[in-house]
Amino acid sequence: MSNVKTTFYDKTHTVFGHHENKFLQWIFSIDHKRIAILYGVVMFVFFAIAVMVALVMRLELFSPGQDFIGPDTYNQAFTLHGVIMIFLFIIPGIPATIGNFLLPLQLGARDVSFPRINLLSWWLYILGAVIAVTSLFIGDGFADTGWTFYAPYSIKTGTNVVMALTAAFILGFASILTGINFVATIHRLRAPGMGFFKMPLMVWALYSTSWIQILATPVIGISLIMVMLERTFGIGIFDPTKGGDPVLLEHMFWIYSHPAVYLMILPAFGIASEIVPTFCRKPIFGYHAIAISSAMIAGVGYLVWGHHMYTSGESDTIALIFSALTFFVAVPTGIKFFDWIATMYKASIDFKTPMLWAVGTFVTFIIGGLTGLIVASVGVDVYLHDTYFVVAHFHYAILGGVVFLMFAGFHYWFPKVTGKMYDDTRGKRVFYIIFVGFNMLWFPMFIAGMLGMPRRYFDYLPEFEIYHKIATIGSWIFVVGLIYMVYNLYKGVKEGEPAGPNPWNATTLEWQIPSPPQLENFGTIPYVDFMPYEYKEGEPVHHMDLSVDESKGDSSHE
Amino acid sequence: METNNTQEIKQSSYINVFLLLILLTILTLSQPAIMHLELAPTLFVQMGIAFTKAVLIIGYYMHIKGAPSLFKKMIFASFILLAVLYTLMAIDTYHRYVSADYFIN
Amino acid sequence: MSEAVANAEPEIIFDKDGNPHEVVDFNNDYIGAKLGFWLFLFTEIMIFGALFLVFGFYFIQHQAEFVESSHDLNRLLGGTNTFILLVSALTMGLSLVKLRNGKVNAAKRYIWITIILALVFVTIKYFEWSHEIHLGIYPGSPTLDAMENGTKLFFGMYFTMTGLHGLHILIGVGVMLWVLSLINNGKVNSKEFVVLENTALYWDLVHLVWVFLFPLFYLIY
Repeated sequence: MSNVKTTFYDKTHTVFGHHENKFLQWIFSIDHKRIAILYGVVMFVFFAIAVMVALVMRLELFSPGQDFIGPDTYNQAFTLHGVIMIFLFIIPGIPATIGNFLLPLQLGARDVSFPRINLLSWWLYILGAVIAVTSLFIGDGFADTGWTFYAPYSIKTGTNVVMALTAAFILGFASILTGINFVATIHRLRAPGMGFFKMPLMVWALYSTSWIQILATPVIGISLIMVMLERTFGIGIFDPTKGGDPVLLEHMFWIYSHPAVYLMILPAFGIASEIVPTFCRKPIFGYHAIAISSAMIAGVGYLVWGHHMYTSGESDTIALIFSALTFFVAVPTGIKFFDWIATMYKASIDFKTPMLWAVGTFVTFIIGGLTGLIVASVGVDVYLHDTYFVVAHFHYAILGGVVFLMFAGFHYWFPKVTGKMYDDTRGKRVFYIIFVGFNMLWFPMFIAGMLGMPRRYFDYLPEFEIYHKIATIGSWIFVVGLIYMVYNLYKGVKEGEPAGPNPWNATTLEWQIPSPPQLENFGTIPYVDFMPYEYKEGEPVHHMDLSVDESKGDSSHE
Repeated sequence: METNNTQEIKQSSYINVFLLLILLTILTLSQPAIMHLELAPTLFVQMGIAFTKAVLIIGYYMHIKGAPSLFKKMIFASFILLAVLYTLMAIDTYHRYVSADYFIN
Repeated sequence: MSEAVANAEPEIIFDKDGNPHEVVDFNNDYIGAKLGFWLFLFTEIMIFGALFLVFGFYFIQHQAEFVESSHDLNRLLGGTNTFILLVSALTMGLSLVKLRNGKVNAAKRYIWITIILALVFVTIKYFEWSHEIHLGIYPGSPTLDAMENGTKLFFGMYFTMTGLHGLHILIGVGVMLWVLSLINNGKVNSKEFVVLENTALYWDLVHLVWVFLFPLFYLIY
């Protein structure tokens, strides 16, 4: 039985009306599910490019001295790697892909609040990406300032800084539009009966993330503009010869870029909160605590940016204040971890690939988080700032936290998006290869950093050679694992078993509709007066069939 | 349920607030001539008038006074965020060239 | 497109006890449209908020030069602009009142008055800028470079902030022209007015920024 008049979806699922051409149907689609896949495809391409740039860097660093790229090219390489990974991959990241696909489904809605703005967000992403890529091939090449483009170097260097900043500005705008869409959707389009404390935790995560996207991104937007104005007109605000202060740019930059990392990790934590109860087959422990901790992380995360600047010249007083606040912001994350582990305690765990990824991430992210606390203390950071220790810390947190959970999410929702199931044994093998490669790649860097290996250095002293060699070999193993993962998922799409609506026996609303979902998502929107992870004796309490009944065409309601 | 709740907006409220804003603007322009103040009190008075105008504009012109409480909470939260950012930056600016080494006697 | 959908029957579902509940239709969601626009306004507040932060940062460090430079700005032109913008905020609001009451032609007239006032504002700003540039005071100029650091920073921020504000005014004019065309083909009317309402909100924000910008730059002498 369907409550939906089919005219809207037939005529207007693209922004310009109906198209015959399949390609146009995709790139002008205003269906959130298609936009999610569009984002996913392009982001994956850029991820692959940035991984290859990193492989080149690691290959150059295999031995000391110049091997096959020069120092200036190396600077451009790590800038390119950072800009692509951060602005083109991880910040759109989970919200643009999994979030776009999943949010209306988990809320019991037929789309997001502003579908055309959703499409605009993707097109802005493409525009930003094109501008960034173009700057590689023009003039002096890609910016060589590092993705952090600190003044005064970013003001003086001849490389294409303005193009890179323009690209970042446009990408930021795309991020803001996604954030606006999600906040409005979550406030307005929840299924009747679903209060804020009955929403799935993924939605809580996306909600907190979207607020960061809205309130923090403009700050870097204006910082980018100020750097561009400084470069072009010499207004003086970051030029010490005119009384300007480069440390002010660092402040402006990190006021966004620190909340940005919470923007990255919060949706990943949301994924963990979805996977753990499903494979433990019991309600999640501490639902309210996890929900509120997401909001707390988003809020307190605005107050800690100065921990990136302990050695840059900020005042001692504020450095101590930021350090204290940074220790404080770790607490809500700890709450989440304890709650997940408490959920796993005495559970009858079904160790499928998504669960394996989630648990593996707990290991790597804890290392990332705890080493973050190490550098959060001012006295220690004086020695560790700008060394490989920090590089290892943030890769454990971002790659071993956000990206691993993103992979977990891909493996979890793969049957929902494609309607097929991949080979689970191969999936587990993929995880182990990646896990081994990952640790081999990054763990030696903690040690190298403590011994003094600086980051962003093209060359190094012979005493560090062994760490670089292990890391480079680890990078190869890691990439082999990534390729194998792509292969496994590809095989799943081509040859996988049909998955059915709920292969994992999960409880949230997206599992009560067919795989892949129909265009309008739901036939009848349910009235939601139950909590999201209700299990009784290992089985979901609510089984619903919310699919659109296609045999009935234009039908009436009851 | 509450899909299309719109508030009454009256012409008279716009005009009354307009007159108030004109008055405040005249006050703001004439303050330096009437009251000769040092920099800090001048700023205090000027920003005070600006904030009053802002409250009037946000409350009446932007209809927040009669809006659902969600909007009020969001606006409040945004201004709190700005206030916190300003406070932290101010602490840094004032202490920038002062050493805070608590372990030296 | 939206007419057929906007006037569609609301979707009703029933809970276990048989009570009806309306499902919000994202194609026809007045509160959602306002909410979305307010979220966009928050980004503008953060942009200008960050600029005021930078201004404040340098003000604290160069108080004397900022005060002196403020004295040099033209209060008459700046004050006139303040009144112009105030009146334009009123006319924008009145256009919304008229539209909601079905007086479409009056609404359009008020929008036109707002546009004209906005263009006068920008023109006056142009004259102010020309005056400074004529005196040799612009970012990167030799005259300015010979002055104190505080003066350089003051004028750097002056051109940046009034420039960005002026850009927002021009964008606002563009949006108003677009809204006029929507009114002309009936897409914005006394029942579907959220686009005009959001435009008015945007204009109020532009006014709000000026409310803080004007005293900080012109009146701290």
